[in-house]
Amino acid sequence: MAEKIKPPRIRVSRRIKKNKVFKVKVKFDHPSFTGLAMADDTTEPVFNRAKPVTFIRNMLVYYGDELVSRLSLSSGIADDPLFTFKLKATKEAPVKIVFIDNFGKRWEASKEIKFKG
Amino acid sequence: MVGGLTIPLLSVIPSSNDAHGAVFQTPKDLENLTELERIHLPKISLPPVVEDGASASIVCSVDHPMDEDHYIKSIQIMNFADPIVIKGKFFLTPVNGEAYLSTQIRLSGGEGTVWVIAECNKHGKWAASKKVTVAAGGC
Repeated sequence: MAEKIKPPRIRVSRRIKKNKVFKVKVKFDHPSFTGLAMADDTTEPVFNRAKPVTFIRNMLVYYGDELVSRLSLSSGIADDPLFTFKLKATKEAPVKIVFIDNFGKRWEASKEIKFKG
Repeated sequence: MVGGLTIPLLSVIPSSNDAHGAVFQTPKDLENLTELERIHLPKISLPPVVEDGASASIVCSVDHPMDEDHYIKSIQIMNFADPIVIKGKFFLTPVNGEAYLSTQIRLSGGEGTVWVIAECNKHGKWAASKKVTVAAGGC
């Protein structure tokens, strides 16, 4: 579990060709607490909301100025998640990824997409 | 309904949870998929046994075209055995090129079934599931 929140980091495929699909990986060191605790270890699992909930609520993906994807999350996502998804290289433009947590805090990272080959 | 079998999920999924919509479609015969079923059925990559439920890697994909007028709108990951049922929902557009998502989810201990729901803009929601045993719960 991350003790500190670090800015998100983006990695993309090295060779991106026009109109081909490429992978985008984004790592965000952010804690995720469900806030749940077992009410009673001896019986059927029953959970109580014992602690504050902390999680990444939204991930927004912009390609150029266009919002192309959105990931709506819950506290059921692991700590420090690594998300991988794909985009079609339609233009040379930055990919910007914005994260918003359940407290409304916002982080973003971007990576310039340039065609090679 | 198009193609596969429409399943009322009353027996499997709590009716109070309406986040998934009313019905999903699943193939009639997993061994002999029709072309419609093949392109809509989500593929799930998840180990059958997860040692640490705090971080279970999952890869979801759909072999579906991502054309302007026919594409996968969303991929949702759920586990009804967990206190946090809905893990996340990924909304896609044709710019994604392929319907693909890899991430890590929390799973509670014991046996469960992870469901992935893919929604096509023309042919509705399609469900696939994978059974998983979690050694140490992570919720």
